[in-house]
Amino acid sequence: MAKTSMRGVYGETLVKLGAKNKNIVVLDADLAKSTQTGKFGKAFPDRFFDMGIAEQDMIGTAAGFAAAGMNPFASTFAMFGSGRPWEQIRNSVAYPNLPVKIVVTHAGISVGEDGPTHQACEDISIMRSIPNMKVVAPADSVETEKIIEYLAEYYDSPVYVRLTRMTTDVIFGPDYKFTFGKGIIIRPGTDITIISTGIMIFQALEAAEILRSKNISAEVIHMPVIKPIDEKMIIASAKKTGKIVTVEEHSIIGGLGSAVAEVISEKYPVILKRVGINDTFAESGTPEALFEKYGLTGKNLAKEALNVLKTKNGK
Amino acid sequence: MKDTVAVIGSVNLDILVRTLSMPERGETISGDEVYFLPGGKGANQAVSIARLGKKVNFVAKIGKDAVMGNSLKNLSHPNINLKYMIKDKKLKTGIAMVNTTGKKGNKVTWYTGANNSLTPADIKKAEAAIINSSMVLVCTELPLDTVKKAVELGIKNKKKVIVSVGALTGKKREDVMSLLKGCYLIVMNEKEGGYLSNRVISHMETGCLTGRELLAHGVENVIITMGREALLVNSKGAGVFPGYGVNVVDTIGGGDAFAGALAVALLDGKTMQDAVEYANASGAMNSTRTGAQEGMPTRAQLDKFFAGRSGLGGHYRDYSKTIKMVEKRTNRMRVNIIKMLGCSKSGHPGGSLSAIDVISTLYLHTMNVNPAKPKMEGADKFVLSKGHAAPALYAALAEAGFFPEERLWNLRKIGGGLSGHPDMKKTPGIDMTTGSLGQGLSVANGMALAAKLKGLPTRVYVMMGDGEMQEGQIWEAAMTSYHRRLDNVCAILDYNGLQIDGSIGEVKSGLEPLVEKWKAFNWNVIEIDGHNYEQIIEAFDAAKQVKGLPSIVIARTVKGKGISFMERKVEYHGVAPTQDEEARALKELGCGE
Repeated sequence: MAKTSMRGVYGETLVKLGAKNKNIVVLDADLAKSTQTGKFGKAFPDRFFDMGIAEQDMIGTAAGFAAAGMNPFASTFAMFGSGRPWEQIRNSVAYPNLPVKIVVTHAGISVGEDGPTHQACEDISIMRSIPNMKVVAPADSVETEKIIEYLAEYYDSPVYVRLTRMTTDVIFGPDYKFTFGKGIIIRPGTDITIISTGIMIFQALEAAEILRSKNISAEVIHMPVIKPIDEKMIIASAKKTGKIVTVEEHSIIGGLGSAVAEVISEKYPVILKRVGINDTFAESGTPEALFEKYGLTGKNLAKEALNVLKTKNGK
Repeated sequence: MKDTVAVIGSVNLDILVRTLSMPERGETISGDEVYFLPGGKGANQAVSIARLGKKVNFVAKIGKDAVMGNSLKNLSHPNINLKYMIKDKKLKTGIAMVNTTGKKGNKVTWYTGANNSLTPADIKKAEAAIINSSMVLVCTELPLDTVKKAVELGIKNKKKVIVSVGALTGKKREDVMSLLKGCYLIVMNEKEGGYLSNRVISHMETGCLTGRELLAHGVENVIITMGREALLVNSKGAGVFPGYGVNVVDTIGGGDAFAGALAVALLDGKTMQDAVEYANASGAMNSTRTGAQEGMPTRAQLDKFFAGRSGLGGHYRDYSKTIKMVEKRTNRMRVNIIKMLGCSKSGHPGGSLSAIDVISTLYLHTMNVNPAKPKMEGADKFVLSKGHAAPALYAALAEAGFFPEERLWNLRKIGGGLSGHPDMKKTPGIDMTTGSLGQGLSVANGMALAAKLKGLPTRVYVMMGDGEMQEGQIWEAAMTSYHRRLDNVCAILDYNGLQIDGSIGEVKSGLEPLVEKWKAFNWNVIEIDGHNYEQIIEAFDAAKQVKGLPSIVIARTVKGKGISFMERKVEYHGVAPTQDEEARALKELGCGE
């Protein structure tokens, strides 16, 4: 199957929505070519605002648009859309609960060769901790399109959407329906639960295949919405398998793994292994080489699952 | 001898061209009129003092040339003794090429001519001029050795010595400083004061730093003028004198009209404070006529003006009904600020009191708002970027009718609807939640862009603090406002000169000059006294007329304004008044309880 680009689809979806919804305005910080918001800029130049290399100003301006009843989408790389303007997001967007959609690209280590200064692996954590803020990480371009379509009509709160630089396979069909706050069981199983977010769904499915070859039935859950997280689904799966492995292209501190840990430790304690960036800065390299070195492969995930299955605390 | 001033100074011919704006490098600007008028600091001061009825022993040097007659025109006055003036046919009279834009100031190119040949020996020869006076007024438009000699002889003969500082370019800072020791008074403008103290002065608080440095050098009194305002620093402290509103033609010679009247008032035995008020009036009157000397008032003219302006509203050109209304209702807001801070026992009085006059004028006069429909489409918006001045905004909103006054007493109380910093979700009339400094201008830009997209007449006003200018986001946003040509954005800088850790000059002096910074960011900049309702109203009206550029009103203010013991005190930035202080403050505001 041909690989597709989330950010490419993001730009195209904005154009499609922009024609119908005249309230949509799009802001970028000198990365419109990379984030693909430039497509919207070409189609609707009067509603596109390149703010220059000034992310704090971009978020503040987006807040002003939202306060005046517009529907702003603000985009840049994940690093500069979460870290640099964190305080602007907290105080000028989230605290007044203004419906600004912060859609970032180039998240995680799959940014690759640009190296650690550009590899946002803490963004889920720092966005998730802000009241009112919602955090979303789609798995492929189809889901990206559905999420952006959904958010174009969503005014209840600010939302942080995390996209990837690299192209990926497509996992969802055209009939996919996005439901805010719901996880998706991609593959049911009974022995162990693998929960992934973003593009790690592919590693999760690969691991499930490896486990199947060893007669282990893994349940694979894709969690596109990390906040508010689908507690019901996590607890139901925990009750069924008693063992959970999470995988994310993000630090194991504060991300999906932490969110799952928060749910099960309070409501239904089971053994949990978090797979992700292990409290370290990565390095320059191809995405594939980085995934290999930092353990974000189906093979490593299967290995971690087997380790969990070996522990006595299991069901 | 009594009632006589030895004026030792310069004589020039001023060639004056009036233009609409100042030429930049490489630019030629045409003027609509040219004047050949007598000038020179010394001559101007002599004429001022003579017209105000005191005698002058004038010590100066001019060339015996074609220009001479014109330069001396006004010096032929019965009160001026020209015996000590030296005419030298080998020399040329000084010439000043003055480019004036009227209200917006002047640029001067000066040929020193004979002035530069007045020597210490000449002064020594003219010592009788000093001996037969009770005061010495010397300007620095002379060689510094000469000035030094004049100061020395003045002090030696036990006269009060006033040095009027000007034309410092090319003179060494240390040389000027070294001759000031023992002087009774130094008068200069903010540029000259800045040069002497190696800092940029664009606010009185920074001027105070310079003033205190000069006191440490052995000067008794320091006066720094800035536009129509004057700052006095001496051992008793510092005070700002706001000056008088008049129809300004040009400001040439304004400083000399000030210095002359100051000398006269001191000779009359007025206190230093009263003398500065009187001198401000002289400077104001002078600015209503073209040139340096033409507008020097006579004693009768100045006394009449001063008497007319000494009462309530005297600082206004036109003490109109609107101004009286805003003044009265703002006083009530000040009362409420003090009362609500008394109730909450925490909060920020200093910055609320510096900002209230502008905020009040916005809500009572300038902005199109509807208290019954706070979210009305097309209404003007206000973003208080310096959110810690929330008490001022709450007081204005209550006064304007957005919510009942009683709610003010819930400030900072749980469930009271008036958060420590403005909260758009909790308080009617608040257009944006603020509190973290540096963020308001970006938000205002977003609102202004939205208004343009929707075709609404909304103007967005955003008030920032001066300390807040240290935040980088302000300058990111400043570029956006210009880039998008947001002429529906009107920023206000509440320029009170103080931040938590000290004056802006002490904490981070690179902040100044702020006026020039905003100009360099291509904004339309309007400077005003932020406590003068006439100027505030005119500034907002003028900003509305500007198309294609964002405007910023730089409002020079006084922190703690209106409460004597809070004024210009860093300590009242974030500390609420005690019960006793509250009572004293309310009494000062005419609200005894």
